[in-house]
Amino acid sequence: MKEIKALNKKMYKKFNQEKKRNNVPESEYVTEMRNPQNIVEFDNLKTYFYTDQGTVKAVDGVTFEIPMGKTIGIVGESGCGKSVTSLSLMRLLQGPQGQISGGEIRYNRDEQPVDIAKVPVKLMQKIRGNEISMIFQEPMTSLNPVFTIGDQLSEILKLHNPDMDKKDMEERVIELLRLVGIVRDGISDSYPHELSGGMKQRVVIAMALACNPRLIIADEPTTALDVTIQAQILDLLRNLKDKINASIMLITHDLGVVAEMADYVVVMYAGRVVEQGTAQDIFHNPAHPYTVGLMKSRPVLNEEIGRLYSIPGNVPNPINMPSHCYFKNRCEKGVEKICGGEYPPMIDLSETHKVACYRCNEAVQEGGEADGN
Amino acid sequence: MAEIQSINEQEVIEHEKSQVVYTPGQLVIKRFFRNKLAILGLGIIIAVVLFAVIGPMISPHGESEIFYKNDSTGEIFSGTKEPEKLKDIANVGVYVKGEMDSQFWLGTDANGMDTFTRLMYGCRISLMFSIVVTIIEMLLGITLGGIAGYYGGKVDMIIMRLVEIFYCIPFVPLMLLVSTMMVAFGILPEQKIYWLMMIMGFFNWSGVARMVRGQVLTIREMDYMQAAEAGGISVRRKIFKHLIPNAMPVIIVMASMDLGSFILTESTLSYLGVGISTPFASLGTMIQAVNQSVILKNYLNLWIPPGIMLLLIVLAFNFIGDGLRDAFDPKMKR
Amino acid sequence: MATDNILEVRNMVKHYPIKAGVFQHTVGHVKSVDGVSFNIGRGKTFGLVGESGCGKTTIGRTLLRLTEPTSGEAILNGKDIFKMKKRELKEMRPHVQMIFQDPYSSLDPRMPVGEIIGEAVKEHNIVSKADYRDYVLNIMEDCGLRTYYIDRYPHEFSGGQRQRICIARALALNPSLIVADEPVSALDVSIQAQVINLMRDLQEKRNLSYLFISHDLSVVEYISDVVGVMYLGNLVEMAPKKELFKNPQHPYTKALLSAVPIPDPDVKMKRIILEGDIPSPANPPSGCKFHTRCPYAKPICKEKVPEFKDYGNDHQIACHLMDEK
Repeated sequence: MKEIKALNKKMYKKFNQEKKRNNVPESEYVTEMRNPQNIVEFDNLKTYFYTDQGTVKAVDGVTFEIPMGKTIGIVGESGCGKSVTSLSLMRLLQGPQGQISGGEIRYNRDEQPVDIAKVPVKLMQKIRGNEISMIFQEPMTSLNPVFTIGDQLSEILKLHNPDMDKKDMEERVIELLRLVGIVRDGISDSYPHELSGGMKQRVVIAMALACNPRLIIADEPTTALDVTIQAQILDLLRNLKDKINASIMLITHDLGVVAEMADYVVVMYAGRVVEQGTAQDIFHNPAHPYTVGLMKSRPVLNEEIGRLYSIPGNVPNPINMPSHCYFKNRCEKGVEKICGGEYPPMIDLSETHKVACYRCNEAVQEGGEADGN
Repeated sequence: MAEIQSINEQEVIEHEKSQVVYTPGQLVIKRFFRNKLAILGLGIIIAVVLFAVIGPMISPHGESEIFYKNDSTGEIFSGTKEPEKLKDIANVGVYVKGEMDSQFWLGTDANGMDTFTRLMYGCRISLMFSIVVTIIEMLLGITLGGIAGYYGGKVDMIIMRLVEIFYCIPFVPLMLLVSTMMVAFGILPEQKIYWLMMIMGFFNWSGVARMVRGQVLTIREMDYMQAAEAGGISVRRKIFKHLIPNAMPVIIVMASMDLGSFILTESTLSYLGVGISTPFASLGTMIQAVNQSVILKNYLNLWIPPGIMLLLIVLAFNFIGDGLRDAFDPKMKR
Repeated sequence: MATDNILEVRNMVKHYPIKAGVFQHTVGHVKSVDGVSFNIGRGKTFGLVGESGCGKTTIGRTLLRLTEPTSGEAILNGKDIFKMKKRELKEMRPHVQMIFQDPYSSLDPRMPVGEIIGEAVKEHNIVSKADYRDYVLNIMEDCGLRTYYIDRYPHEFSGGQRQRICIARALALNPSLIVADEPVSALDVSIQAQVINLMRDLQEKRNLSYLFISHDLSVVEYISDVVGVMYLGNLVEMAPKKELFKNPQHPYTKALLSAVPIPDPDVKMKRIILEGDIPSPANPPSGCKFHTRCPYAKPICKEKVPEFKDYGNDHQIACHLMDEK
């Protein structure tokens, strides 16, 4: 108990010191992209929450990249760290408990690549909203109920382009609303409560697009919506993808949504990436037992299945994670001899397809013989 | 492969069995005692209660014992214990505003009574007063608020209008009126305090009722109440097993806050001369001494101690209330 | 056929009055359920699908008399639930139970698991006092809960386990019909499968009937025998599962089915995207309520309410287009 408190105190202090620092020299946060075609590269990102119960390793060594102009889907169940990853990228973690404790988030800015994890607060404010914007799950809570839609949109525009005049602004607002499929006259004078859920989500998307961002983070953008409205919004997002030149980081628990939207897929489990690859890799040749289990446990329309496959057990407690593979206890392929050791490293199955599992590698090497056990 | 899962299963079972199981009540207590301010508050209250309950037993002086001084001999004596010494009328006078010394730790007041002893009695009466008023208020408020929330409809309408009417009554003028009436009816000072308790309790239930009603309304809509309804659980059991335990946190927090605020109200009333009257001590009547500018300037020992005592008690109750609220609902903290 | 049904609902109507003004007079009605009829076969599952606000939850609650119906009848074992008096209602309670959507608010946080499950058992004297504990433990085991959980409190459990506790609570009364209102939509995918499997196993073991309410079409398809699709307080289509999913007829059903994302990147569905939003049930469109969003709407749809008719194979549809074919 005492140790936890002492550690927390130390980390809070460190956090506050870093926050207060002015004039951080550029050399500290300027980096090199590993691949200039990427917009963001997560490199061994570690985001921990220092709580009274102990350190929660919400994101524990996550590595993946977002290529320019592509859509990347991040899938996982609640508590797997997918939202925390995106919040780390936006530097919107709840301080002082939540901190980026290690690793790099390299972001390919126009001028020079920077490491988001170390960027000073001032520069981050410039990047946030302007270059990277976010769409949240609840459209109701991300709009301010006392301002009209037009006001809220133009406020964002003003914040990021101070010299825009009023007429241009109005035009831009209408253009944005048209972009998200709202063409009704006078809509910019209406208040959020006058709009339905789907409309609100469109407005939220318009707000995210307001400053021509280079990366849009969509955190469960359709979860709160009805099926038919979800179809509308997905359709809209897919069309927008072609119209705007931005990458999309789509966070969701719904495999169907990912399959439809994403070019690349990252599967997360308990704060780690367990599998990543192109959508085809993941959906046609899932390698990690967790990915396989996830897919098998969802009934698919117009497909007859006897009994649903269910992954036994529960997600492990995020405090005091074991050193072996986190999925070992729920895995049907688990073998104490192999899986009881260190956490498995990422293994390349193909150029794009990576998986963190000892048994998968074996399966590939032995040509699937391992299944016989 | 099946065995690895069964091994894991065993591990999980053992791990879960070894966990310490806390009831929600125990969790609340654990969280409460993690809050330093709350512990401080609890400590102050315990100290004050001990001071007020045990103090008078130890103190050699009585609550309204008047002390006299024989100017020629310089002897200080109690008028009740040694009445024969009062006979020396020429030299004996009331020992007014005596200095602080080993006999009178905080000196004597303008009536020649021991301030320190009166402070003990004052705390006792003030605490008693606020506890009784809170109990009356809670009983009325919980019953009426609970009925309004649970039954709804017309009953709710009537009770809530009643609450609004009670909200509109200006409290201090009312108390002034009541006090005058009590004097007119010739009610003795020792009975006056009971009347005051009842009247204050009666005029303060509306806030509690409103709060409890709101709480009951939210709990009534919870799915577990619906499940109880669907299971055909009797109304009595629903109220006593589900509704009240779940409404308790709010009630307890409110009660602890009210305990502090009633002490303050009582002092205000006593200060204005409509509350508890001499010879009975209460924190308010003691502070009232400050009305004489001589005392305000020169005899800090007469009014600062009860003032600090008042401050401490009210502060402590608020700390406890805050601590309890955080302990009941840790999510509310931020 | 009729004897096989555990529940027959005829023309159920539930209108919520909208009150306004100082005197709270009624200014209109939210037509939450507007004349719905269906049967649930013994040991079968009836799936009810629809979007938010279509009245599917209200149907579930009204069947349990958690809200009072406006009119209609619901016959359970030969007795009309809607006409029951207090005593009869209490006797009926154990036969129909409910599982709620939110596993967090459906368990009293101040009660140990054993008491949550056994509370109503005691109330109805289902088992003798001596057997009580064993009975509860038995139910817990059936629902995949470890027996030592009996004295623990809900706050120690995850969503999936809580939902198991809810199922155990419903099961403890030995019901013949369970109304499951979105029982898995608050759970993670892998936990959803566990709960669905549990529900299926229990159905087989105890010959339970379910009214399974959900907005998730794939789950409904998996678990149901007969499926009804609701739109704004009315059933628009009802058929045995296979028939409905293979051969959907109502434009709304078609759109709904095509809106479900398929977890395969290479399958690009031809999607029917519905324009606009669901109208408010307080002021539903005239005629066929769907005509404002229907891609095939005809003039007649605006004027006449389509009849809910059987077009063969137990396939009932309410659409004017069907008559034209």
